[in-house]
Amino acid sequence: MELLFGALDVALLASTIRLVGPILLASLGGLTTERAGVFNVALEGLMLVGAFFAVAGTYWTGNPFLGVGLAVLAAVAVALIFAFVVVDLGGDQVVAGLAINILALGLTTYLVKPVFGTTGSFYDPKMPGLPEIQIPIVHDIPVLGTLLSGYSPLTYLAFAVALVGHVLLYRHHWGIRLRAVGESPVAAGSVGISVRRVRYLAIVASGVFCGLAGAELSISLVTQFVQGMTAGRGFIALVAVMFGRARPIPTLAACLLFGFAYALTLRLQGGSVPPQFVAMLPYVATIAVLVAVAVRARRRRTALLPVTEVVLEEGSIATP
Amino acid sequence: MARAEAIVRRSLNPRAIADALVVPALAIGVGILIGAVVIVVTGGDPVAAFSALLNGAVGTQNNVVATLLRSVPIAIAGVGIGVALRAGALNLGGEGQMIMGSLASAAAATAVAGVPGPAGIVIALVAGCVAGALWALLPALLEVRLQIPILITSLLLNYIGALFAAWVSSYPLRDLSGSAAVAQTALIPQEMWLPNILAGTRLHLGIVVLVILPLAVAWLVRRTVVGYELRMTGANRLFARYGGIDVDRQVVVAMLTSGAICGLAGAVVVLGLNHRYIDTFVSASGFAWSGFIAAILTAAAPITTVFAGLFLGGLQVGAAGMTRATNIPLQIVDVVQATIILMVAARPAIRAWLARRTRAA
Repeated sequence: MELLFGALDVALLASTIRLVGPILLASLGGLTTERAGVFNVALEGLMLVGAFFAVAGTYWTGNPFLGVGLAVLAAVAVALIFAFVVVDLGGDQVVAGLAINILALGLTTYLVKPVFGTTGSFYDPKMPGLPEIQIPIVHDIPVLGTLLSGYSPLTYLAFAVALVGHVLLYRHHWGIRLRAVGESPVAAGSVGISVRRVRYLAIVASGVFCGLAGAELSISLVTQFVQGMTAGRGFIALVAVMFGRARPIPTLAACLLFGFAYALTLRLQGGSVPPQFVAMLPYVATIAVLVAVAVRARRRRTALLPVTEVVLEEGSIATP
Repeated sequence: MARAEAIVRRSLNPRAIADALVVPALAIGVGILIGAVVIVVTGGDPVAAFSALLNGAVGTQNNVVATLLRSVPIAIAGVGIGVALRAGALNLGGEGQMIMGSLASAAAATAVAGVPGPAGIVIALVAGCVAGALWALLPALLEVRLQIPILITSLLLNYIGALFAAWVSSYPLRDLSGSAAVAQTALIPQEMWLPNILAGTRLHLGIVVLVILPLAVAWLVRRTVVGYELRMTGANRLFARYGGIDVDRQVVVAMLTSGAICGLAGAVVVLGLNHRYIDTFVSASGFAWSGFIAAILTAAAPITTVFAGLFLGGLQVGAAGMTRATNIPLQIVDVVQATIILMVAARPAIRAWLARRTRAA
């Protein structure tokens, strides 16, 4: 316990906020599709595509903001494939999502060679990362300055979107339409909402968020691309959506919890605990959170997810 | 034996094959087409690439052996993952289960070094199965007790298992004799190796599993009460429960079996191929994910899953040959594979489209 409390300080909290960006952005994408009735297992792959093209765009143009733009475009392009299979072809959401993940892992690993001329990973010391934003006056306040100032623009954007998303989801007609499509596509269709359009837009939005998430990972937290560098963050983001039952503020809370696990991982590296066990922390924390949520849900007799249920499509696999 | 023959005959029935193979064949065709497009876009010659690929997969006896060696763990894992799919459990933890199976069999093989030949090998194989099954147990229990989806927990356990195995092979069981860059355990005693079955090559007895295992699983799934209950659970859980089947127990049994078979795949990698646990080998080779693709592609039918595993193994080995011959990165195969599963995910739409075409003609 002493280890834990000794580690609890302002720097650790600042590190939590720094590391939460990719998970928070991806979970906002997952939340959006979840509300439209699409269980989005593809977050992991979309994020990886974003991470790759953020580095590629920055490498080509020398401007990290153009890198972010390219990351978003690429992730949206892959998200459109997912949307086509899931929405237009009526494909199994989980299988299609996993296919996107395998596609993303293969495609980005493949492209490292023709694009950068290296294999496995790419790092160039001359390549700029996203700048840290120092908020003028706040920056000079002792504790508050460390907590509120000095993050990447995407981190500020992520928190802003989570808060604005809360308002949009419950108070704006966009949010109402989105929720209607998720909760009852037939009813939504009967009052003139195009279910197809809303689902497409939701999946494209998740592409945008995952592109940003990948960029935050590869040109802000570090400035390099490593194959498979998302390392399960997309799935952890999915768990955050489940924890928050697809509500923005509770999802944000779950992300902060996972961000804290990552911050603790960094803090404990080089200590007496073997690095492999330290690195397990975010994954163990995620499973622990799932168990806690499920126990709570069972007491209240509610489902773990508000909208979609995770089942294989009838007859696709299980029938002989 | 008559039963086994009936199963083989049924799965070799031309009409059944035609029906089951249309979508996979179409998927493979489109997958290769997309792969060719990617090669052209990135400045390669697709014809040279694919002929180098074919040659790399089956061009010479050595290449055929390499394809078989790579296909063994893929096909075993695919059959294992298929068992879980049949019960409606999305076991994405094949990789973690294989890793734990590898590690356990390597540890067991060293521990029981005195035990004479076959018995020792059997102990090491069983150790791999048990470790894989245990690694699959937690996700199964969490789903049946707390409704936490297996697909999430089993996937997260892949990372935990990989890190645990990295620790074991870096500290307690690290081989300090060599100077290998990657952490690995000590070489297991030679009498614990799966016997070689073709002189001059590395082909080992593990290939026999590819014949016995799918027949055994096909028999289990199609001809036994347990198998019937398993299929009912996968087809419609509510109906199965209404019919008096203990659905939760089925999911747990299916995951245990699935994990055990994936663990066996891992054990075969150690006892037949590397003769030690090499850190990151299983995940870097992507055996479990290829197995997952094989299972999904064939709707988890065990015998055809093995053929899909052979196909994917050939594709990957061939790609390595293609990379040597043409300098095109071998991950192009992942693009082909992903396209294949996307097509399979869209199976209902493709079926409907084919039906419309047939009616129109």
